[in-house]
Amino acid sequence: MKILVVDDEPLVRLALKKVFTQKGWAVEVAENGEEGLEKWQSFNPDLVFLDVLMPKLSGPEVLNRVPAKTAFVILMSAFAGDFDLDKAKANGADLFLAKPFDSIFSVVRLVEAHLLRSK
Amino acid sequence: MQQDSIRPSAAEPSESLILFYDDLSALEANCPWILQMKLCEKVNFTENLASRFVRSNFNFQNEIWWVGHCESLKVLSSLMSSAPSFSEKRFLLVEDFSKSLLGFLSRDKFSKVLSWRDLQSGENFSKILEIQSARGTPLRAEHVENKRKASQSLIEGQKSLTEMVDDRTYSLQLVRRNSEEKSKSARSLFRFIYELGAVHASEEILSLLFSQAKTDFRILQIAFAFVDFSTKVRFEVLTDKYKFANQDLSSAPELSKVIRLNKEADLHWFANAVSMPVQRLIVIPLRRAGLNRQDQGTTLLFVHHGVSDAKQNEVVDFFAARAQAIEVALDKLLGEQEAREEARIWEKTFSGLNLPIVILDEDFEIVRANRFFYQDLIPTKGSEEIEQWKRRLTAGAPPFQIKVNEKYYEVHPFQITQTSEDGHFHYLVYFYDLTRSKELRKEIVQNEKMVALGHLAGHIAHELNNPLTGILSFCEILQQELEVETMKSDVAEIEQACRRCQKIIIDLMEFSKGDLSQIRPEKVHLNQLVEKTLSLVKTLTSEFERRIEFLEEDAEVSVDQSLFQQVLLNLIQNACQAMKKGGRLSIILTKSFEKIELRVSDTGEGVPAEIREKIFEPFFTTKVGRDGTGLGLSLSKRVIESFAGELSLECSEHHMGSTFLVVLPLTKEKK
Repeated sequence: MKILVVDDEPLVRLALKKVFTQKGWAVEVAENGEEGLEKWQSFNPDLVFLDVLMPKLSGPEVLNRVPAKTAFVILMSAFAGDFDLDKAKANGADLFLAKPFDSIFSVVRLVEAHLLRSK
Repeated sequence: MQQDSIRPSAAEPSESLILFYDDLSALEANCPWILQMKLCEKVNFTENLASRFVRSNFNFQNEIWWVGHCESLKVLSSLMSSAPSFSEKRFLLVEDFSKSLLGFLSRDKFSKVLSWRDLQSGENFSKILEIQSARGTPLRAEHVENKRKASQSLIEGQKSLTEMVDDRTYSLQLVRRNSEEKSKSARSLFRFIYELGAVHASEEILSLLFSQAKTDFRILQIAFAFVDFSTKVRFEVLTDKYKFANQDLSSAPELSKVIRLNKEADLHWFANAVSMPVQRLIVIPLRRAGLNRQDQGTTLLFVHHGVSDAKQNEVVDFFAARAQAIEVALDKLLGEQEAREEARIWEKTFSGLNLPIVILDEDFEIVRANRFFYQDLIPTKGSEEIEQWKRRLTAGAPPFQIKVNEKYYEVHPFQITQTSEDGHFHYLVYFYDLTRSKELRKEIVQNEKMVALGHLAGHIAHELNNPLTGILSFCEILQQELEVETMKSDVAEIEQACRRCQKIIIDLMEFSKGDLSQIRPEKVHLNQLVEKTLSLVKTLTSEFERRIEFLEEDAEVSVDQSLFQQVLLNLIQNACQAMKKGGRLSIILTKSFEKIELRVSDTGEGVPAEIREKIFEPFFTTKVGRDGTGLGLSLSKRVIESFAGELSLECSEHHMGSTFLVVLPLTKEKK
């Protein structure tokens, strides 16, 4: 399982990388949209955690530029008023997560559930 | 004396004096002078003789003297009464004269009643004697002729005098009749003037005129035409049935300064005005006495009558005599009317201005002020503020602001220079109420502040949420990884603090959503909605006594359900937090006209007076150290306002709890 985390907040990147790595999944991180797009193409993840508001390229912009979207995409936003699931889906994402998370472990359980479904 | 010698002849009247006597000796003793006179006859009086004498149709044009005793005379008198020709006036000489004699002696037949004493003196008869002595002489005849002529002229004189008296009497009667008529008309005029004093309207003048005039003349209609120079004519007419009508006419009658009778143009104009044929019409112009009203037109008095041409002048006189009094009365009425009108205009303008306005003299004493001034500013007369602004009222002073009775005013003073009298000046001062505009400005500033704050809050929320996500995540990871319990609980504290931060950020983000007008309210039944919300806070409110009153009949309001629930939850939460255990929470719904009122009351400490104004400001909170962000009430207020409602602190007494009032408009049923 390859997971790409694109977020400009280092602590979020760190925390997610930590819990996912502990689960034995391969994790790549990117600190802005541009880097995220590059890593998406080079790393070819199964799952992408993509922040909405980021420097250089925003989450939806990244989604717009990805040539072939094969990964499961979860959009995240710290400004929940701006985004919801419908909007996320309209932008090409599969799920929406509001920050702060209810619990970091609930995010892990979300990934596990996805894994189970995709098998 | 020979009795047979008495042969008086009727045909030949004797001019002599015939003396009758009954006692010659007495006559000789008392007045011998009689006997010395030239007498034609001396007749000794006896009853028989007298009887014969009278019956003989004797012509008694002679001078006859009767001299005798009383008793004899009685006989004679009765005899004479039966002699119709005995009409001349005679002397009567009576010896024993007494008043009793007069009773039976007919005055007509005896000119003088004399006593012997009268005769004795002789003096009273000197003239008689002269006359008597003249008789029988040529002089006597002349004298008689003169007398006759004198008598004739006297008769003529008497006749002319009678005529004169008749003439005089007639002319006197005429004068009297005249003066009676004059005094009658004067009385009538006086009564008219007297009654005019009590009239209050021009129609009453017409009515008064009518009632007086109709007693003498046949009057059909009386009318006033008030002719204005703006070509507007006020026409008031009273008919013989005392029916009054008034109207405004566009065409004016001819104006002149003289009384006009039956003039073609007048007849035509009046007939048009009253819509009936008119044959006889008097038009009397009335002067307007008031100098100030000279430019306001003329008044004409129209008298439509049915009096013949011969008597027409009397009608004219009647009305002309009253014209001046009518002028004065009309002038008084118009003056009063103008005064009322001016008072009304004054009331409408100066007094009616809905801002305080006052005119002060040089000593700042009130000359005139409108009711708003008395209402809003006078109760504090003498207060420092008032005294201060008075001092600032110098010539050309710019407007300045004052605060009176918790209201703000901008004071605009103007100096009025009086051209008349003493050249003193007054101040006109009006007070522009700034209170509302200050409040509005405050609201605008507040709104702008809120919008700016909203943007800022949104931005801050986003910026904080990101690191907070990381911190919270690491707190969780650390708590799982750490083995030392004390360290675990420390991290738990950090996580709790972060959750509080998260709540602040959630509120901030709600608050910063800003455009609440975008929300879509829907019709909901308020009783149901409140009930649903209360079920969510059962645990929270369980430790308090609850008093819930729903509407008797559920009503619909237009709200966003979830936002309304948040507001209600917020109010309930605040109420619960304000109370200690055992307090009472009341939620009461009432319907008032087109509105629904929802009251959430607690029995807590109440909101201190000094912070009541601030509780709806964002970030204002009294919940120090607890989870209050100071955004709940301000957000709730904005939400309710977005439903066209109001949220306010209705009452709050120290230690007596608070009541928050939500007012929502009822949804109008579409017919």
